[in-house]
Amino acid sequence: MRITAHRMLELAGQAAGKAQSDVADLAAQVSSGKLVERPSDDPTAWAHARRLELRKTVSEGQGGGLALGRDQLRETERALGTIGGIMAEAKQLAIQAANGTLSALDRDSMQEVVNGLFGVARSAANTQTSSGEYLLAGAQGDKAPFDAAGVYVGDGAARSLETAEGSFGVATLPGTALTAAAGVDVLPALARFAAALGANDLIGIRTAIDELSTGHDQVSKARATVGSMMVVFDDADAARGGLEDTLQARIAALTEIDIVSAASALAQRTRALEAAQAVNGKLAELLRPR
Amino acid sequence: MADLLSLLDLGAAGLAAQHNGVAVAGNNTANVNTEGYSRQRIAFHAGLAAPLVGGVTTSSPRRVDSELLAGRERLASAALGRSGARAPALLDLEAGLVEGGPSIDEHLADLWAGLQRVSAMPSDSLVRDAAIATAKALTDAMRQRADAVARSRSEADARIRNGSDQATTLAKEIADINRAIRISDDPVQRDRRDVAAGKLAELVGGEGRIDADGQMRWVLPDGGVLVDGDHAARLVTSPDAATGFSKVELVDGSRRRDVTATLDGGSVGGDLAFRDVDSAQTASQLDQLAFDLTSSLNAVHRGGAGLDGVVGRDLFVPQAVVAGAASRIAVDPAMLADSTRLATAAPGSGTGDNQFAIKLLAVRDQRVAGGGAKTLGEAAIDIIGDVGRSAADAKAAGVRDAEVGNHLAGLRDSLSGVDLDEELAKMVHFQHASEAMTRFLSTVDSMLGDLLTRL
Repeated sequence: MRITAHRMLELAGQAAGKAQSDVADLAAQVSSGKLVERPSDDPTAWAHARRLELRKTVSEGQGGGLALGRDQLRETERALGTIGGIMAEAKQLAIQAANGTLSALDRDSMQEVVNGLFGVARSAANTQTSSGEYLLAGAQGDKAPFDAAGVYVGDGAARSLETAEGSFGVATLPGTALTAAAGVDVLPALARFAAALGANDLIGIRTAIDELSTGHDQVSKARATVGSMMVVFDDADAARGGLEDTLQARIAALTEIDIVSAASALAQRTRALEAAQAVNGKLAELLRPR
Repeated sequence: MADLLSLLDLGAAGLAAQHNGVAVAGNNTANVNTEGYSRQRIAFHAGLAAPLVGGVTTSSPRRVDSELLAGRERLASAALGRSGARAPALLDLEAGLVEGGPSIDEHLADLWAGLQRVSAMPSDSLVRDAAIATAKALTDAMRQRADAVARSRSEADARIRNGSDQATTLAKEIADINRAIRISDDPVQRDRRDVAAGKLAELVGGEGRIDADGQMRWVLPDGGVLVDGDHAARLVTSPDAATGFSKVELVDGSRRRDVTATLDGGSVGGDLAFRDVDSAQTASQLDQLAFDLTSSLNAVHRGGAGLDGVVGRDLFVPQAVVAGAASRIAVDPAMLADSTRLATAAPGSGTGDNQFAIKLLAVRDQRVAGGGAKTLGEAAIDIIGDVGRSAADAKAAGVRDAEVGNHLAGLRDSLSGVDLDEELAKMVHFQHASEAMTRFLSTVDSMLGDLLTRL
């Protein structure tokens, strides 16, 4: 085939241009660390990576919800711990008060203590989150669940949270756990004990021992329930973390460059560019009219 | 027997022929870098020997070319023009969808994360405000992407109008050259016509052929004639009320023919394909996604109660039709102003209930998009992925078309290109022959002189 000098120079120029472009493309990839930045770089890999990214982001969102839920459960557990401690203390006081050697005056003093404990327990039972929601109110989170007498006025609704794709865990404990539905009305039991002390009512005081004992066990059981809810959330969070790590590794495999092989390819293409430029120069010299 | 005077004529004719050869070689050398120039050759014809000597004559210079190859080059130009227009337009569209902030699927993920937090703390005003903010960011992003698509279509429309004007100019140029060739068949005019034809092919495709009368005819894909000898029609653009974009018509006198749908070659064809197929599909998909998003979330939201217990509210401004939904999508203004309206609870339950927050979140995994085949996130990813795939295909087609064009250019250069060494060698041939003819003339002159002296 007849090849003109003009064509030879043109072909050599095109080859050098292509080599230059190849080096530039690969250098951009090496510096960004990304093999696939746009869909057109590799449509299949990009779409696959993007779907994995979506799953990962959903999982991170679930983590955000889990964190909030765990915080609330922690607050609930703390409140129940306070109430449980008070019940234990009140039970001790009841046992002491049942002693026939104590005077009415002694029992009056104890009544004051128990009234104080009732206030603290009621305050703990009406614990609010930072946004003002009452933790133990069920779905009636905008109203204090325990009234002045310690009677529960909330509902029995429990809130669920998504812990993983398609899985849910219970995230709240309604105040019904501290009512007769679960054993005794805990706060009214304290109030009755205080009243019995004030009336110097030994029978009432002895009845209070049983109620306070039942109430204490009830609160402990409620705490254990909250604890197991937290375990569910902790396990879900751990699994979520593992899933995210797996997804991230798969995304990286699809979209990120292997630095070692890229560096080697860059060296090869640089040498090819140098060769093309040398050929260009040689041709220009050979084809110069004499 | 040849007489001395006729030998002088022979010498003169021979000298002139060699001079013509030098002139043609010199002309080729002078035009080595002229775009579209085909090397020329003159043919030497020996005169009939009457008696003994006939001398030499030369024909007019002729182009060394191949109309078959030129036709193939024009087809390749049309293909390259098309992919050369479509690929950058698609890459631009891809950039518009991917760059300029998080993409739609990323905003969707943020919305789900926001609803997740609301489901954990349904009565927290900050969490509710943040969830509404993610919904607003999503709608802003959708409108921005819809604008980007509309902008790219407008730009393609402008290129179509511009390309049609240029094609009209080139058609007229070809017609003018045809007229000039009819008067005087100059090889340079044919070169110019080939260059104009190549540019016209790259613009609008079609087929240019040279008939037996040496005139070029240009026919568009639907059979419409753009150039017929010394007569050229026009490609005229005008607004199409139905689409809002320009339509392209072949206008010849009073006859008008809409070629918008059939013009598929060249850069105008590529821009038409981008405007009316590629980006139209993207716009339609975005609108459908916006419609599906609005409908599915509103349908759930209306069933739930806000913190005030009121049901029946919309989260997004309802969309009556799919067309244009992406440009209109917006969070309900009352919702933006007051996040307590976000329906997170079941009707009749309290502010701490999160059943409807969970139902809203469940839309994430429901196949409410793509005609019931995809989730909203998958549909959002596929919109961008489809553009990317088309862009990658167009890029690859461009590379292939460039290689074909390059190969054909090589064949053309091999046939018609000027090689300086070849021309210089020919000049040397002609120079030697010229020297020889001068010597011959000198000999004949000397013989004549001798004869005259002795007489």
